[in-house]
Amino acid sequence: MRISTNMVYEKAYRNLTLAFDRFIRLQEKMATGKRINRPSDAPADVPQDLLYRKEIKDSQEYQSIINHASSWMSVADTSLSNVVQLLNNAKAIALQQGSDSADEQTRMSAALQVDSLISQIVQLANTRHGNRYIFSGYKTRTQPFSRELVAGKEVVRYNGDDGVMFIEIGKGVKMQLNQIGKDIFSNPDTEIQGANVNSTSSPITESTPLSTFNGGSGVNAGTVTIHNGNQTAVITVNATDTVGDILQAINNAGINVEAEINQDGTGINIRSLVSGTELRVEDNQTARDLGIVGVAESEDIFGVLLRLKDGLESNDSNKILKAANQIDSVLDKALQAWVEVGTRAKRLEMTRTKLGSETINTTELLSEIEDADMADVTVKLAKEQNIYQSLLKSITTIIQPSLLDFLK
Amino acid sequence: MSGFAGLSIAMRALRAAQMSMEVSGHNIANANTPGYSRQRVELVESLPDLTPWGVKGTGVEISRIARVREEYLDLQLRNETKLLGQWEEIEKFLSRLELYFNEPSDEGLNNLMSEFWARWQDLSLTPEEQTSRSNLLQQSDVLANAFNTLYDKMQDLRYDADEAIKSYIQEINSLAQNIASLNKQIRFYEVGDAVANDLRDQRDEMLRELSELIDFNSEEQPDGTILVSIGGVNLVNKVFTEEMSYRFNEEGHIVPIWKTNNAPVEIKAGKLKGVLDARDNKIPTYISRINEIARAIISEVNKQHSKGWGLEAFSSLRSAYSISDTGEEISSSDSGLTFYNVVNDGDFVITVNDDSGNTVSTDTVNIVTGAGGTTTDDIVSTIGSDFTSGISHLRAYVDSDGYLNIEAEAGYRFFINQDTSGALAALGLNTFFKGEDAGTIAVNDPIVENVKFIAASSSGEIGDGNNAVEIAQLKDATLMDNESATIYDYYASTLGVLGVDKKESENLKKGQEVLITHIKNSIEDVSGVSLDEEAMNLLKFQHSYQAAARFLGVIDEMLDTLINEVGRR
Repeated sequence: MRISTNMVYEKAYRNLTLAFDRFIRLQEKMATGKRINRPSDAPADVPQDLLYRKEIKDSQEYQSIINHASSWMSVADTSLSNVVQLLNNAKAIALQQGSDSADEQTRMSAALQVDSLISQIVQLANTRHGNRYIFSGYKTRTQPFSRELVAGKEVVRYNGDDGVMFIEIGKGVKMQLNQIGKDIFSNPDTEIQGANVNSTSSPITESTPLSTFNGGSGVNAGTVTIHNGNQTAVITVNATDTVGDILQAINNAGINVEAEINQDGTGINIRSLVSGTELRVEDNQTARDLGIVGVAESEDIFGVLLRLKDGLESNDSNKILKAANQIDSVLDKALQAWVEVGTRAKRLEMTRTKLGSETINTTELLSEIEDADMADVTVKLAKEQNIYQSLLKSITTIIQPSLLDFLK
Repeated sequence: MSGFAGLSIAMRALRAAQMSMEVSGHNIANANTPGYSRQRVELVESLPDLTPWGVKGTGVEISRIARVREEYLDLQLRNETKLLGQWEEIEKFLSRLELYFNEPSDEGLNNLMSEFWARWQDLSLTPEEQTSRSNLLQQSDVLANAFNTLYDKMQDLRYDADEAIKSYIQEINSLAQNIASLNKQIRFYEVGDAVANDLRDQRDEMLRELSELIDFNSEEQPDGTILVSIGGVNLVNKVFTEEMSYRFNEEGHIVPIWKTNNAPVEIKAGKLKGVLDARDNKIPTYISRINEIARAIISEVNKQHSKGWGLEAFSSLRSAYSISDTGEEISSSDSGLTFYNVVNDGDFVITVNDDSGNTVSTDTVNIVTGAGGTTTDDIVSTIGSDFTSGISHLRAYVDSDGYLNIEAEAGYRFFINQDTSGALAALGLNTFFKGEDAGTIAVNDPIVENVKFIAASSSGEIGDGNNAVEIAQLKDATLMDNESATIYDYYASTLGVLGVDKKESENLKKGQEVLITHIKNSIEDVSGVSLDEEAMNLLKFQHSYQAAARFLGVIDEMLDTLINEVGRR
């Protein structure tokens, strides 16, 4: 085979380029510490690489959500543990003052203590996390509980709603963040549950005429008297009214009551909007026809405590003992809520731990496909450097002499 | 034998040696000339004399100066060169794409998408806060810009390709001119048996250069000229050339054509093919994939967003998408809506509030799809074209640009949401994004103006971030590829495909390079100038020349003796 001079140069040049190319690529790996610097470096691994990166990012976000939720839980935990403590105090006072050894004097001073307890619990129920009231549902900027005097009667009103907040603490895993203040502190079930009205057009709606009630015999016209605490309203009922008319009349009566059709559409429920009052509908034919005769007293924290205070102030041991009994059940409710917070906090903690170890695992997996093996790269780089230098040396020895150098 | 015959032998020998040395010199001089093939003086014995004693040699004669070349190697070289050019170009463009995507890194779309969804999560934790809304807006801007930039860069790359095509067309034309003029010279020089070695070398080199750009057929004609044809059109025929030109297609891109008849040039290989392939096939694939991702994000986020409530009601609202025919069903492409296909049977709710936030009315608007379904006109008439008809205190109209407008009477505001039909997403009412692909995706105007319009709430209450959670969860929903892949899956596989594409072109290019090196070696093996060899030749012919000169001296002495000495006796 003939070797032309050009070929010698050409080959030398090509070998140099190839060696240098390999050298540069290794050098890039060395500089970035990465095996994959662009998709074509490892096309098969790139999709997985990107998905791992996404997972790590997600985990970081979930961890920050969990941090946020944990601090929420610790605020709720402090608040509820104090509520439980205060309720225990209230129970001790009730038992003590319910006994025969108590007298008007001691009961008056106990009433003051209970009053302060109520204030403290209202304050705890109005706990905030950052700028958000934690017990007011979605109405996070509205103070959930307020102590008010309604017609000379002391009540506690819930101003929040029953909005449930969800957060995502893992891929597709949602957790409830908040607890509804109404469920813990004031009882939504305090209502007069209306009897079945036997409407001929069941279920009843707002537009159902009262004439369909009681198997079509309708409702006797007349008045219905509703007492809520010290407030009283007299509703006039005409035989031609519709259900909607009645509901509207009750809702607009201005005595903090709310009426609605029950879930099955068979009757009308009436509910007090505040804790601490007795809701009563006087018995007469019209009220009976509407199925709303009855008495309801809220068995919730504020209702019971307000009645205890009432009993103490009025020196009524029956009332005091009754309240003492009821404190147990409301205490249960507070405890339940407290335990719930603890359970969620624990779940968050476990998820945090799991996420942490998952992140580490994923980071390792990512590193395995994306990061360069530095030891390997270093060795290879040294080798390539060696090759490159030897090549340079060999080229100088090959290229320099030609026959012409020897023709003198 | 005449004494003078020796003189002519000597003379021819001298000339042969001299010529050979000159050719060696020529070879040495052109050792580095691209495409040059070494030349050789072909010597033959001159015609012998017939003498009574037999046939007597008369010395040496120069037969011809030949170039040493294997034509079939040239053909092979050209065939492989055109493929190299093609893959070189494709590889060049794909590596630019890799650069644009910038993955894996913290600056790529992958990471920006994660940041985007994370800001929705953050918003769900504190939906009341202005800052969490502003952070989301800012991150969404960053994401939208990243999509826009990537899209623009890829589109620009296609215009860069046009520039390359223009310059290649110019090069082809100038090569054709050169080949034609070489044809002319070769035809001129090659009368009789003469071979225009150097001109042919030049022409071969031109053909090789041409093969880098485009594939062609070449055929040598009896008169020594070469016929170069591309897809049946003669680029060079004897001394004439066909000029290549270009026109613009409907996309505004260049299409190579023949100037004479405006017919498109048939291009099967070469750099031109590579650039065209990159411009018309490779890059558009990635553009359309990015578009699909952007479209999925736009339509899915909008669908969920239009279910929710912002912190503030609207006093007026303009749809983000225009309607070309208000009498057509919004679920049909004839309506001109970009996202007509997200519309299903369902309804949305319009809530009118007075200025103090008390609800005045709540109306449910039913959406029916299919023939005879809900049209834009239907929606306009449901809302009413003045404040009294339809929904009180609201009016709706389609403006001259085809956008649906809803306005509240002074003293009133409205919410439009709880959409189960996708109609609001299709129209772009109470939506988060506007735009229809990666090039146009942007945050919708109302939200840019007032972040309180971000619908984080699913109930209208301030502390409710549930709709934000729902939106954040879209990140893991299988929205793409017939609901088989998440946005991330699709994006990751796109990058995987790009990697494979680039690697493939790289490998094919390298393979071609190896092949061509091999062929070039074979050509060099035959035609290349070896300085050592030429030095040897010089030495050899120098000695021949010296010996012939010596022989001439001897003849001279002999004749001298014969002429000067013999006559004196």
